[in-house]
Amino acid sequence: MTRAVVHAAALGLVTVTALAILAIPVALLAYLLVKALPALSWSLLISYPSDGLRGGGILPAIYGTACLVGLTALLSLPPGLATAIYLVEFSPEGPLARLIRAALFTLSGIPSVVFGLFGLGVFVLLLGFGSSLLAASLTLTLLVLPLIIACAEAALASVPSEWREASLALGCTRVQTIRHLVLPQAAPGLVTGTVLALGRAAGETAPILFTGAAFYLTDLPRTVNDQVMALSYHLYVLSTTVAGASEPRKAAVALCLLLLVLALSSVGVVLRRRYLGERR
Amino acid sequence: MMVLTVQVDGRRPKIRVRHLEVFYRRERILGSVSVDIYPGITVILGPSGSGKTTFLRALNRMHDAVVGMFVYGKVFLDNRDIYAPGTNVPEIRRRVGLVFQKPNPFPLSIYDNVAYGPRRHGTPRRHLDEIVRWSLEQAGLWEEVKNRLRAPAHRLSGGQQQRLCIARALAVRPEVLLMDEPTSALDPLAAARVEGLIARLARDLTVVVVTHDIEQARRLDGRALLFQGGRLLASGPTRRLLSSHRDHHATSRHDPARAT
Repeated sequence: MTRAVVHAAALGLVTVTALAILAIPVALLAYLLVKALPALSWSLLISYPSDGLRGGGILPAIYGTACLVGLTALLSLPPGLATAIYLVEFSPEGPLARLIRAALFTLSGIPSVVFGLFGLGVFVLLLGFGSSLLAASLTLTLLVLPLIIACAEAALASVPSEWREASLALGCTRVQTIRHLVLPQAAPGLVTGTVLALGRAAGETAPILFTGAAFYLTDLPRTVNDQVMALSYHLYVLSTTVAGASEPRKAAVALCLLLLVLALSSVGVVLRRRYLGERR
Repeated sequence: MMVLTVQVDGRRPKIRVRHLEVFYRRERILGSVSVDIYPGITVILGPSGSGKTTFLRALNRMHDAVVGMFVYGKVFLDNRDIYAPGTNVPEIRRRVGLVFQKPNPFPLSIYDNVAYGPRRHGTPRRHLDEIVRWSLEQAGLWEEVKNRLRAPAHRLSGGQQQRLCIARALAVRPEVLLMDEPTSALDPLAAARVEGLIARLARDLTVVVVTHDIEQARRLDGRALLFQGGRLLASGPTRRLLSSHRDHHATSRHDPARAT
């Protein structure tokens, strides 16, 4: 009798918890949507801010975040993939690999504001990039590299070693095997991992705070040396610095950021599906 | 040159193994082996853990890829030591193919599985169709798959997959084909087909087959190497070897699931 009760209680608890997890994003989205409704309009997306950020649109912030994400992807993917390939394909147990793993582990535990200060010290000041899109993207790259490498490592390691052996036994070189067998097979995992990491980059405020985020720009950035507005930083500014910014407006910016990350994730899911679909 | 290597000369050894030793970390897992392997069929017999597979994989340097494996000694392929410094290892593996115990087709189409090797070796696209067809015919699979070459290899049955793996290995035109218990993961009927195929291939190639199955060794005939405890116990014509080493059979694990 008691055992049955415990069983039912456990099942109930697990189910409720699972449903609660599902409810979090739904509730968040619904809350923001309802709150932002009065401020939502097309002009919000396609025009420049006015009235000391209290009115007008947020086009520069959307565009800036897109630039940051794009450049971060460009900067982080090649070294991330290369490191993962080294770790999985060339030296899975070597002393250097162990050292690299320890470094990544440490890197992933560092708070993002520390990356921001590091970026300020090294990219902005020491290397003289100034507060710019480039410096901010480099800082974000440091932040997402451990994530990208971890995901890429998992994706590469999921390719069975029997296939690698078969390829080598046909007289293919290690590089050919990686290029023509391992990478195509790992592609879905690589895409997912990259998108996940970029979603993280899109939402971060602290790393770009000192390295490239602008308070208010009247023009879109033209080169990587320009400063950019970003959704995350814009939200921070609206909430802390701008007196009299309306609540719906803040919610609208938050909603934009959330939808951007969601869109990024869905692109990842679609790409992954297409890849997997081709194989069946 | 090519014409000379294609000719099968039954009297001259294709592979000469001299003082071959394999270590895993500190432990010697294969004793000093010296033996000649001739064109035609060679079966490798012995109980589990006797060093059969270790020996086989030493013949095309597959141990290179495994951390902690060390190979000493010489293996001459047509008078050239494949362990000599500066050896082009991929080229050795191109000439000495390997078929694995468990069928391991790539997650690609039937066609792309067979074309994989030739493509990497720079075979012009216009020759691929012909090579794929030839390889599948050699492996006795062409008639079954000729109308669905673009279908995924994983849809094939286990026996078909193993014949596809043989076709894939043949597509790079190896001179030697190593096979590691190629029928042990198959049902009896599929195993019999693959066995027949092995006998046929041995007319043109040097084929080295590891097997658990004494009856299979007897049917394949040719020459045999008998391993035990990481050493080469005996070698010679298969029938003679089997009759003079009866006692050894008793120690060989006989798995009823593998009997044909």
